[in-house]
Amino acid sequence: MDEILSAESIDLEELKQKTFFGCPDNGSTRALVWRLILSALPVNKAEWEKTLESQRVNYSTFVKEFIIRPDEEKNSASNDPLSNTGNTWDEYFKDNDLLSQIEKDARRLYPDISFFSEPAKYPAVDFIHESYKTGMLKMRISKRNVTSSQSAKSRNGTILMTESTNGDEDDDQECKVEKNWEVVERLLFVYAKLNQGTKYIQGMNEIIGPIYFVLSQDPDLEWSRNAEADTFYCFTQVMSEIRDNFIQSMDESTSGIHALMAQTFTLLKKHDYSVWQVLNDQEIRPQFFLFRWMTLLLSQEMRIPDTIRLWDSLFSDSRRFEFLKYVCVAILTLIREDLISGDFGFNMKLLQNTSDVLPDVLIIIRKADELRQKDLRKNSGPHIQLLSKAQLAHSNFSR
Amino acid sequence: MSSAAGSSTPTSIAAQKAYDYLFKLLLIGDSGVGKTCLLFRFAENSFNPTFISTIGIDFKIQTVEIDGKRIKLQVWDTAGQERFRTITTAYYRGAMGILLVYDVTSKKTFENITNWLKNIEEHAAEGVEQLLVANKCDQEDKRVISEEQGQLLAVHHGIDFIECSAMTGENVREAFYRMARRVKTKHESKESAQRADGSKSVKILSDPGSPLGKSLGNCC
Repeated sequence: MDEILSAESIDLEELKQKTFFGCPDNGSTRALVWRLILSALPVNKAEWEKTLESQRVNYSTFVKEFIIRPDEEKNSASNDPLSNTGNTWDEYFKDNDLLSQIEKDARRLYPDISFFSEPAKYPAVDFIHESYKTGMLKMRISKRNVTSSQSAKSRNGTILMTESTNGDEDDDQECKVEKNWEVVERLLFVYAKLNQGTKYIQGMNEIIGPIYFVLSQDPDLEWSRNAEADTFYCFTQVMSEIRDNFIQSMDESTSGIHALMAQTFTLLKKHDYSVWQVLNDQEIRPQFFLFRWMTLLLSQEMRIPDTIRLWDSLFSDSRRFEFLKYVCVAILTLIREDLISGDFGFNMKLLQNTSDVLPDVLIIIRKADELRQKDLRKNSGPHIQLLSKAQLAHSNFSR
Repeated sequence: MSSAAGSSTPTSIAAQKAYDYLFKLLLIGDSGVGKTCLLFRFAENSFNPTFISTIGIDFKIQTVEIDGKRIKLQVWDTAGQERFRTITTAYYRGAMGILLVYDVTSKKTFENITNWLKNIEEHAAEGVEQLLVANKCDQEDKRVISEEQGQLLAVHHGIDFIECSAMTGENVREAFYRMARRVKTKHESKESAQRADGSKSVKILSDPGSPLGKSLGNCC
């Protein structure tokens, strides 16, 4: 992999073939690879500096535009919302609704790890400059008080302690420190402002979370200090491909989530008829579990290291998330014994809390790849024949 | 290949009579009002302040005993955000009881109850049992909706009302039990009405074997 990455112009296809089988967990490789395979970074190294700079400048412009400026306008124009002619305040309050929705979800991101409640290493406060402090989002929405040392339980039942954040006592202290979840909140807010068609939909936090997690923990400081801006572009790229899953009006379209779930069930029927039949007989609909699995690229079904490893493969998939369907089918076939003997209640519980029963993520990926290869082999037969016939026809013609 | 081998496998159904009735309940309300926390408090009797957001639909089963009858409650917990409406309204029809939840510290979630009621009217079965649930009643200092306001809204729509707190556990059990009792009463009165008809359908009605409570579907 190092060899591929050291080339002046990186062969993306070759890289994807390697990264499909996983990026190394230590070092900077994964963060770099994700930028590349998500097309947030050009393959030609000579263009890196220019691209990165313009992306990062753009991002800080968005932050200024959507967060700092509205705040300054609000402060300078008038302190009385009623005397103002309208738009600024109207927009400002609408934004605050959006913000409180995002805040709720960003705050409860991955409660089973401490990362998101830890202070961010390089928050935008540092790179945008001092004036950003007036525009820190936390100033805008009323603080919900979170009592100290709450014990929390994640979906799979692990007990953990969340970091203490006292409501009022150390407000000053708190305002200077920005936590990782607050960076995620700002990223999602900027995305929502820029993408008025989608805005913010619950679940987007679960997509951006692991990306920021990977990029911000890059040991190479030159990269990690720009994790926020770079995450924004990687996330935007991922969203451009899975956006339809999040849009209600797309639900019934051929690229919408219902079609995706139906295709996955068809795939299951083909590869494991018994499991399909059990689900079908028990009237366990795809939307009971596949909706969440697929919209979130399985990020709520696994622990974060496993999600990240799975995403190496999903992001490397040349047919863009086609592999996701096979991963879902693989999971179902790997827990088939349980599903076949379970009743409706047992199976629903199982399908909604898979993290306890799932085998190692590598086994899932191997199984999914095996299923896909099987289909590819089946399909390639007639395909090759067709091609050779056409070639034959062509050569006959030219003669 | 695998299909031929699999087709002969019988579908398993819980064979023992572990319960007398199976009722399907549904939790609806705006995002963040504490639906998942209420269900968690009811099913696990503990509180988790940092639940991840519900995407689509979640599910829990809890068996309760009322008047000597073992009742299996199948509770569906829905995502609150508008985007998930098309996914979640599909569950309304099968529900025998719906708990509408708002947050006493948020005016918007209270005002939206009217919209949720409209949703029920459009998508749920006629005569479905409804209970208006005011959550977070422990947060007196942040409260913006009084108990009277909640009560008034409930009376206005002819439904039952309860205030509770998933955090302290106050009234949570009571809310689910009250709902279960109402569904049970309605179910039994229909059952006995049908029994009075003296015809064949009686046995099927109380058959707990069907995991989806399909046999109950017609009457609720």
